Amino acid sequence: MLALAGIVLMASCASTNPPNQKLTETDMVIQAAQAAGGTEYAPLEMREASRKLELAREYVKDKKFIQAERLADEARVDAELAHVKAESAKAQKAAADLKESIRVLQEEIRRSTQP
Amino acid sequence: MTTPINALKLSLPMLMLVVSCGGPPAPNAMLVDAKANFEAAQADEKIVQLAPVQLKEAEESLIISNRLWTSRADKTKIDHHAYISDQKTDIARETALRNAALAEVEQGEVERQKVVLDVRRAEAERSERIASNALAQAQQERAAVWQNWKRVRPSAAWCSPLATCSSTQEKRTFAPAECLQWMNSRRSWANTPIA
Repeated sequence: MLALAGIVLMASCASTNPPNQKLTETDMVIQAAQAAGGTEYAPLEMREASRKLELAREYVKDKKFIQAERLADEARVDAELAHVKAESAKAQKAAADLKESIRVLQEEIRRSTQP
Repeated sequence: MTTPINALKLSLPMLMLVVSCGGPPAPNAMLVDAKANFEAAQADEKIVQLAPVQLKEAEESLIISNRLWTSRADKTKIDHHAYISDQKTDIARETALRNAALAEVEQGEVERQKVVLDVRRAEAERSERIASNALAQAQQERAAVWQNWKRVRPSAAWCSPLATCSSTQEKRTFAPAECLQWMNSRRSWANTPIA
């Protein structure tokens, strides 16, 4: 009876160790997103990611490892979204700039072919 | 006689039975949103083509969330996986936009190089045209002056050893050698001196 209760308890609290590796990984993902311009292009997602990572660390201190892991996972996808949003915005700007430079060059051709 | 406690004891299993078998579980707002978001992305041909992996990941989290919901699991867990799925769908959408823009840049580079060559060619043609116009004009002017000289000196004997030349402006007479020198100094605009 006691053993069964023990198993149930174990099963319900699967994480008995602090998810340190997950926290480190998430931290790295957030830093990579920052380096890619996440703070500039996706400030809300970056804020969410940092806030959740902080919260996850608080949970680790309180030995609430499941909650900590869950928040770390959410922080990670927030940072990943911020990262790709920054890349997307930059790529779209580059494409638009290139298009504009081509237009200017074509205009130049038109002007120089006129007498 | 049923005391309130007894009534509660009796009704609790009943309540659980009703909850657990009372048709589909109550809808979970986050799961509903995540599902709608995913389905919209899946219907977008561009996202399917340009971000298949990210879309697949979104679907996997959605399936987990949905399974937890049908098995009436803890709302926190359902919400968590629904959230992950929702964000991954957004990641897929943004990835597709990024990849499309990157492809556009790649294509644009090629076009730009082509246009740069066109510009150079147009500039060269323009310079050529300007140069040949200038040449034609110079030749025309030279011919005009030449004609004028002929008119001034109708004898056209000015290049013979015995000739002397003079202009209407300057009433001067030269020896033959001096004559050529003088003419060439007047004709400094011409490329080749009159021999």
